[in-house]
Amino acid sequence: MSQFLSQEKSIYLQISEMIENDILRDIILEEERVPSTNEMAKLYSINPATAAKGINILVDEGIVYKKRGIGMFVSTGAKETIKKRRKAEFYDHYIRSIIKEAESLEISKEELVTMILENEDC
Amino acid sequence: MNGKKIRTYTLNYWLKSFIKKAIWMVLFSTYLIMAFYCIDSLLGEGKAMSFFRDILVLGESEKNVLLNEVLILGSWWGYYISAILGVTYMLNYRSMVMLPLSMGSTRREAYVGYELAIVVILFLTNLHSLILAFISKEIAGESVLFNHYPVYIAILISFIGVAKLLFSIQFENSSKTGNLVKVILGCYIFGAAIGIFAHHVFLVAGENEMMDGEWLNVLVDFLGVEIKPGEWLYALVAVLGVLTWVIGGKITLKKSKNIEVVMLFS
Amino acid sequence: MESIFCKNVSKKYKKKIVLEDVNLELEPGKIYGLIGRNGAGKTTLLSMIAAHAPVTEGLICLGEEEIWENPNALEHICFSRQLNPSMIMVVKDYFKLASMYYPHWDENYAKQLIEKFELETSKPVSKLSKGMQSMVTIVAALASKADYTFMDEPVSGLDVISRDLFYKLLIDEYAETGRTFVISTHIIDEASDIFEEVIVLNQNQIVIKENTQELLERAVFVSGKAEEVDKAVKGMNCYHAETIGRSKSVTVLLEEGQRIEDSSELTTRAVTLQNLFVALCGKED
Repeated sequence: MSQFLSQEKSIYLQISEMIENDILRDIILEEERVPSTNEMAKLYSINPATAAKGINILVDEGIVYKKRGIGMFVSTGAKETIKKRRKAEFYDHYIRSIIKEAESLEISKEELVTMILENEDC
Repeated sequence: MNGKKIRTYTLNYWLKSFIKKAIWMVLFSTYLIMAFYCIDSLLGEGKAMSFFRDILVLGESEKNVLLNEVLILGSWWGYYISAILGVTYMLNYRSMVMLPLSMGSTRREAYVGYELAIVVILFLTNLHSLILAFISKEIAGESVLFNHYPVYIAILISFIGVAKLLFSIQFENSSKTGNLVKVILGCYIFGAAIGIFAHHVFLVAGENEMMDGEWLNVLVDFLGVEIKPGEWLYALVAVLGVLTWVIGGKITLKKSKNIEVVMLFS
Repeated sequence: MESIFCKNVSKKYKKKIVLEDVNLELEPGKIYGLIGRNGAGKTTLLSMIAAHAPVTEGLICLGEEEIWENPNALEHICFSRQLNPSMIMVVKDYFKLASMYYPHWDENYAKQLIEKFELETSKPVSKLSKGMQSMVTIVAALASKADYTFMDEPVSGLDVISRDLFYKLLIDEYAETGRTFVISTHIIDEASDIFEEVIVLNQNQIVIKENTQELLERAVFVSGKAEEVDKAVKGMNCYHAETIGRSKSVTVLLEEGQRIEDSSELTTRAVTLQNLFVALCGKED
């Protein structure tokens, strides 16, 4: 198992997330080539079919497109697409579990908001 | 059946391996024994090797021809060594059969290749032995081995045939029965060797009434060789030998269905 | 290349049943993981498919043709097994025989692999370490270039770095040729990412044959107060339930349409392949 991947989430989801993160961080720019299925399979020691599944998610969402015979490329506007989607998913992925935890500790929503507003850290 | 594989199997690998062994076992030991015999006869008054002389039971006219004696000794030695080699290779079925099976060979191919390899090995060692015997016959005009070669070859086949029969019965790979068979085999070879040596003595002495028989002439005509009265036993053994080889082979092939490639692996 | 089919295959010895009425289709072009406890029948199954051992009942075919005693089928199959540690044959000779018997053997590839593994080919097998013996079987398997290649615990005795090398070589070869591999292993989590499909053997049967990722998506580890857990997993396939005091934990394999209701009383976690295997095949107290 690769040291880059965790056991908590499906491998192919992690692959698509990693590529998305690279796009957001300008590690791969728009219209630049994305590593191929086989390259990623070798790098992370995973089955190429799994890597392909991860890339296909990005193809379906229009973040990445295929140039026949050459490879996969980042679509123009991919960065925006990713941000928009993640914003929409933000509540489900992060907020929901915070609220659940807060509930079990009997912290009200108002207290939560106060915590966020008053905290100087970030 | 993939004939190409069988050829490759026999010729490329096992003969090369055999030739290395043959050079040491057959040629080296034969010529070593022949050299020792020469030295002993010339310098040691032949005392050390008189044992061999008695066993070989050379005729009066041959006794005084050193070269002839040496050749005869060499040819007999080669003959017995080929029997031992044949059995050694036969017992080597772990490599000769199991390995090919583990690498995608069918049981039929592996088994036929194994048989072919043993036959070729026996043929080559006996060829050398026969050549020595032929030369001695040319020198002295007589060589027991050369004159009665078909019979002796058949005896050789009987060694291997019985061994194979015993072997085929346990061909289902139990290591316990494997050891048991090796013991039985050893006893058989040892016993037969003693018997052959003993019969050599009787043969030349020509005195053992036990071995006379009129029906012998039928066998003589059938086999087309010169068989002395005392040799009926050999003829019988020869026929049995061929039979056991064939039966053993058939049983093995039938039982081969149950061979599991186990012995090679942990 | 056709699929391999096992139809109602059983393997029984005088007093023991190893496999019973096993049905399996191995589709070409995949890497399969074969897992099961010691003695579950992994080696036996692979052995029968490769015709190293006969079936007691049933039929094994490559496409339409039975594999047993069939050179046309056998030339597409390679089963590279753990060698007998007392084998006196020299490694070089073993590979020589392999090159003769496997019709698609790639000598150059074999040489590259031997170099990568730093294998000492002049030594007899018995003088090699366990790890090196495994490397011999790996080289033989990969260089055979057989369409269906089976490996029985190929990483046994290999240190983590060599294991890593093996996985990379396997993926390299698979990516390039699309050969079918079936790998049995005890080191499950490490290899689980490599297996497109996983086959689990337990109690003489195949209990799971499924795409690895999809299987793991169905698996959930649920823990919390016992009553809450019981409520949440009612009617579901539960395995390896453990109770300590008031808390209970259980591993669940969800069927289509099932899900664990979100609740602050429950903790749910993803399950690794190894965890799932232990839950499915471990001893029930």
